[in-house]
Parts: sequence; C-alpha cells; structure tokens
Amino acid sequence: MKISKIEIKDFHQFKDFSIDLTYPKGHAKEGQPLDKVCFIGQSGTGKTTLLELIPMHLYSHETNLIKKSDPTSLSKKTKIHISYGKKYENSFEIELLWELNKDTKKMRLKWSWTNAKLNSLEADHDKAVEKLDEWWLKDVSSKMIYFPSSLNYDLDIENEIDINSDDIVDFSQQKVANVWNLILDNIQKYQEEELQIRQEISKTVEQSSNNLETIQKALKKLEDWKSIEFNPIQDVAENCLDKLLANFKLKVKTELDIKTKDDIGFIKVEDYHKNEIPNGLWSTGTKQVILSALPLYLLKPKHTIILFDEPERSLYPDLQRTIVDYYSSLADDCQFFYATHSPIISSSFDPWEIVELKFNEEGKIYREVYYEGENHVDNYKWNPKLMRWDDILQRVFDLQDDGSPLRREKLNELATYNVKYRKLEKKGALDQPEAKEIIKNIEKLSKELSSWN
Amino acid sequence: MRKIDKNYNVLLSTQYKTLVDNLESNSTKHPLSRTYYDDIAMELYKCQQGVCAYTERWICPKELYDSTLWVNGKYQNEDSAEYRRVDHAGEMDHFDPNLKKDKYWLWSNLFMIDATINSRKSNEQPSSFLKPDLDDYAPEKYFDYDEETHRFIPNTDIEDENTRDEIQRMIDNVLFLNHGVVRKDRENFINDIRLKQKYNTPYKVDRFFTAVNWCIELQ
Repeated sequence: MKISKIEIKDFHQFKDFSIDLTYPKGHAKEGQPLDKVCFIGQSGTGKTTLLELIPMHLYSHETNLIKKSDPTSLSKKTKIHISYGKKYENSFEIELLWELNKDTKKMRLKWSWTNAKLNSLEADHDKAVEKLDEWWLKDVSSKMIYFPSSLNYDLDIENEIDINSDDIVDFSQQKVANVWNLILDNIQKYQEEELQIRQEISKTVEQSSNNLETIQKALKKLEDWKSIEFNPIQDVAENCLDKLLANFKLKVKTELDIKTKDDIGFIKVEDYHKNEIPNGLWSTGTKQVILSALPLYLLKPKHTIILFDEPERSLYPDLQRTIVDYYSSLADDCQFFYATHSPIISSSFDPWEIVELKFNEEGKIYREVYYEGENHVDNYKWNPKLMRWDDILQRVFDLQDDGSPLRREKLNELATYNVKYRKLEKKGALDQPEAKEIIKNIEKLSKELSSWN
Repeated sequence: MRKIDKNYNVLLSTQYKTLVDNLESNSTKHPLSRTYYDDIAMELYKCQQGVCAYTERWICPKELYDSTLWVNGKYQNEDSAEYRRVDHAGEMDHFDPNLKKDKYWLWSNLFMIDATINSRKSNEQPSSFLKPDLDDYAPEKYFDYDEETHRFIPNTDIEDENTRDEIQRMIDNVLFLNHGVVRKDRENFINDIRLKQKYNTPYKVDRFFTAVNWCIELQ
C-alpha cells in the first residue's frame, strides 16, 4: 500500500494544502506512488504532523503527537489517497473529519472511504474494503512501522511483549528493544543445542582421552552442526548490523556463554579485540543505528509504509550518507516517509521525492516546487543526488551564506587586492612597490582561503 | 544596482497614479489598502526588466508585466492565467522606510527586490546616494567588481575610508550583493556567457546586467 496524495483543508498551520506524491512525467514509474518521500523544512512547518497523520488516517492509530493535538482543530476534512496491488490498480481516498456527536456532545472522528477502485475501475465500496482487508492487509503486506525522532533507548527487553500486537508497530509508544523477542526463542533453541553438543564433546574427551580420532570426530560433529544450523545471532550480525557497526569499529558478539532465555538479554556488541562493550556504555550513535536497522531486519517489512522522523539523530555525516539506501534494502517494496533536517540525508533522494515545506507570508504552509513549467523529470532545477554538500545547504536548505562572517571579511579583502592589482596593471604600474605588496597579500589570502574553495 | 529609469509620467496604471496624485496634492496620508499592489509591482518590474533592483537576480517572468495586462488603467490578471499574478519571487521594498507611515504608495520610493533579500534586509535603509533612480546615479561611481571572486567591493578609488566602509556595509548587510547564492548564481551566469561566446552559440543577458557589463565585452 502506498500513498499518492495528501490533502489538508485546515489543520494547524496547514490550509488548503495538497501534495502530489507520484513520480513525475518522463520517469519510468510516471504516475505511480513514490517509493520514498523526504519532508524537509524549518521547525514548525509540520513535518512530524504529516508523518503522524498517516497512521491516523489509515489505521485510526493515534501516535504521541496526535494524542496531544487538540482534536477540534481538525475542523475540516483531511484526505489521503492510497493505492495498492501489483500495479497499484486498486485505490481509495480516506477522509478524516472531527465532528460533534449529538448524543454524547463530544467530538469524535469520522472516517469515510471514498472513490474506491478495483482494477482501476470504480468499485462497490464494501467489496473494495473487503479486498483490502481480506487479501492485501491479511496476506500480502506487513504492518506499518513508525520510528519517532526520539527513540526509546532503553535496552532492557520485556519478554512478554508482542511487538506485533497493535495496529501498527509504533516505536513512539513501545520499546524498540522488544523486537528482540521476535528471535529470542530461536536464539535460545540454538544455544541449547550447542550446549548439548559441547557437553557430548566433554564426555567423549573424558571417556576416550587417549583416542584422538574419537575426539576429533566429536569436534567435527560440532563443526558440521554449526555449518548447517541457522544461527539467528550470526544472521543478524552478517546480514544487518556488522556493516553498520564497522563505522564504530564494533561488531555483534556471536559467541555467547548463556544457559537460559533470561541470560540472553538484548544483543551484545564487542570491539575488534573481542572485548564486550556493556549495553550501558554504547554510544548514542551505536544505539541509534542498532535500534533503527534491527527492527527493519527482524520485522521484514513488505508492501507497507515506514515512517522515520529525524533518522540522522546522533549519526556522523559519513553514516548519514548511507542509511536511507540501506534501510530501503532491508524492506520489500515499501514506501518510506522521512522527516529530516539533514542535507546529507536529503542527498539520497531524487528532487521529486523531496517535499520542502515553507511558511508563506500569512504563516501557512506551502510546498516549494523544484521544477519550472511542467512537472517533468527534465524540468527540475536541482538534484540533491548530484550536488555538493554546500550547494544542498545553500539551495535546498536555504542556508544561503557562504560561511562565517570572518570568511566573508577575508574574501572582501582578497577581492579588493585583486581589483587594485588590475587597476595598476591597466596603468602599466606593476613595477611599483605597491604592486609587489598587493601580490604578497593576494598570495597570503589565497593560501588561507583557496584550499577550501 | 544599475540605474533604473522610473518615469512616473508614462505609467500604465493611471488609476493608481490618479489616486496618489490626489493624495499628494491634498497632503493626505496614504491608505494601507492593497488595491494597487499588483499595479505598482508590475510597473516596477517593467522598469527593472524583471530583475531585483539591488542584486539583479531574475525574479519575474516578462509575461507577468506585459502591457496588454493593463485595461482601463488597471492591471488585470486572472488567477487562472498561465502566469498568475503571484508567480514572481519579489517583494516591494520601501527605499526610505520612514516614508511608509504617510506615503506608503509613493512611486519614487518603491522598488521590487528579491524576497529572500528583503527578509534579511528588514528595515535597514540603503545609503541615499545608492538610490538606483537618481539622476546622477551610476554603479561605477561607488562599486568595483572582482572577476576572480565575483564580488562587488567599494570603488577602490574612493579615498574617504568612512565612505568605503559604508558602501561595504551596504554590499554585505543591506543590498546583499555578495550573498552566497546571489554571488554563485552571478558567477555561473557570467561563466555560462563566456562559454557560449567561446563556442559561438547564442546567449541572452536578462539578469546581472551590471556585473556582465564589467566582465564581458558583449558581441
């Protein structure tokens, strides 16, 4: 299921706001919903609100922010267009409106599902809902996932919690570490079997200490078992976390000395000298990486929507460059929505995937479009994937200055010497001592500035 | 930046002109109603050839200030038109902000400037001698242009240090002539013309007129 359009008539800072979320003309996927969307904009432009309106519409799921919003402020309709199916041939428009319940005199939310289409043709509303519920949501897609900007970094898992019990997997309301429960039983089973084989080896050594061949046979049995048995921790290490943790010179600890399920706890991490780093000493960047990537790997999301607020939190720039593509690689045909303040994160997006939110003169929000004329791939003014970081900062994030005031001062000085030199050149006075002094100053300033130009 | 000819007597917005003439002759305070905002904005763009009066960035397509859009002395442009009246990136600047109080719509005090520059400039007032429609104004009198760094600087021939400092402050903090993206766009534009001259392909100078004149011998 993917979203192709969001319309907000009047809600907080949004008024007559509408964003098209499909690929533009000239694109191979023209007209289809975007695979990923990046909301950017000054604080207060409603990036998180947009993210959190999505589960509200689709699953009547109230995330933290929506719970805190004054419900009566949603006084006019908001509408989300969704489509699903192999070629997005089925679609709906979901409208949401707060209205007064005449009996209870309380405000309540009213949903309406309109413009139902099956196989691109207008369809009976009930049949369309049935198909969505009984086929798509039940058999094809997995649950929507929401990563808020402040993840719960508590690493103590609660063994009895089922991460999949709610309408969506909402990490604004539950601990991320609880995803570990999804593989905890498998880890325990693996550990128990390993322990059993090791006990057999000990016994063999004890009973046939002089028979090298028997001992080797027993050891071979362990080796063979390890080579065919699926090791859930090894799997997480090799296929999900180790390539990210390599940035911090860390890796997942795969050799565990545990006896019971309670001993296992959350994932363990060690340095390259096999020194375990206690969970309490993990850096916030390490936690952020593990707690973002691990759920995606373990939940194996497919054909659903994934919401990420400020994925750059605590991450060094070199890691920010890679995570968007990495998260996409962990999901199967999902639509990602990101909200970010990071120019580096935004460089992972095509220009039509970026929704830049701005205030107009009245303080209402509009989307700044990056194309001129028709919405066609050839008409986009800039492309963050092709731009230098400073260009992205200046043009996409509107930080228009070149650098610090001191840099500006030095550049002004350099420009002045350049002009003075040229004026002397015109007068044929380059042999004057003044010209030599100017050259000296130009060289000095160029050295200070040019290595960064 | 360059000299702007703002001949009040040839305005197409005759309704606006009549209003202001009456207000002035009766020494009446100007109303704040924005009835003639578009008239004035588009007339100014016509005089400025669609560029910011200070930075000379291109901010308005010429279709928006085409003479045919004035009917019976009033600017008219339906929102359904291909180019809507709001499809420009400028804001109206009151050169002398002190005149806002009583003479808000005074033609000689108004210029269209890049909206991003306007929000940075706030109520800072440019030095009076830099008013682009003065009879004796010429950018060369006050500025120099460095082709290496593509920065405007105070004219190095001005001997009085205080005047040079004042012009530098204007460049950096009021007119924003060397502001990051403005400077970069200007450099790109000039380099693009140079490239087109080199390969003998057609080019059009529709912005950054002053800097182009400084750097390039037009063919």
